[in-house]
Amino acid sequence: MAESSNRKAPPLTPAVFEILLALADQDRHGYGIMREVERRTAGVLKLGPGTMYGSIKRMLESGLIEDSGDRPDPELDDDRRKYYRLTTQGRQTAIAEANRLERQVRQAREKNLLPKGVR
Amino acid sequence: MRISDRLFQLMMIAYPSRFRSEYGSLMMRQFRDTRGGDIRFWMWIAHDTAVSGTRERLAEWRGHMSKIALIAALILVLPFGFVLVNVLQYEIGIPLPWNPYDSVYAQVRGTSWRFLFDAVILFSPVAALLMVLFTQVRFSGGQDKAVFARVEILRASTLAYLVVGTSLALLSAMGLYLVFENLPCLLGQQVLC
Repeated sequence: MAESSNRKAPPLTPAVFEILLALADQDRHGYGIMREVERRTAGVLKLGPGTMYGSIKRMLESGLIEDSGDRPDPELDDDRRKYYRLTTQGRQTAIAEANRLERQVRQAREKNLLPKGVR
Repeated sequence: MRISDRLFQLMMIAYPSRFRSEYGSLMMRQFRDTRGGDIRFWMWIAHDTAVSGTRERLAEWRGHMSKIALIAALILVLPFGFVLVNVLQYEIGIPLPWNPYDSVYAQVRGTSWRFLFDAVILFSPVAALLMVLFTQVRFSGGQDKAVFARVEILRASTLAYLVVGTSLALLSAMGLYLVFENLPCLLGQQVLC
């Protein structure tokens, strides 16, 4: 149900999708998200403070992520940092977007834009 | 506080105050974590601040959409009254006991204030229309080649629709008046124009 409703939603911005991906496996703070995105995209996408917290604000408002109360390792961390985690809606939205992108890649293969049978 | 921190703090003026108070310290934290001294770092920060600052300002403005629609409606009061009174009195022929615009016009006739009066009457509907369109309509590039551009109407209030309708009606009325009033001159049927 949620997936079918998400399918109709407009594509996510690259920043929002990357933040959802960064939070898919663990809770992270802003800088942690930035480093994870930078690592995964090999430095191609580097989220600046404004883009990061602007996206986080909108994602909090739309219920895609939430402020995580607990801190993974309080002794090693700065207590002024805020940690974020995916909500169920956020996870479903990320899955829907990943499915959408997968369909597009499949179509690109069918049109011989990408080599067939290579993942 | 380091000079670079002060500079970034100054750059954060680009964001609305509510956004700054909510996320300013977290943004400063991230800035300190990523801080670099070279020109590329500062260009990246300046670009990020300009783009996201503009986006947050527009988002805040859209949040005040109803207030803006109200201001636009107030701006329309003067030209709406002007057109209504003049149509009633001169086009339909209903004698009004007092025409406030004629009284004002008599005072400003022959002075430079007259141009201001005309400009206010003429440009108020344009200003009101732009204010509402800018806050209620989002223009964006198309997602693919088939879609050149996308026009999205945001949460439009009844007042906003009313402002757009009234502005267009006023501009049409004033445009038609100007054309028909000057038609004899345009057709060469009147010498003294």
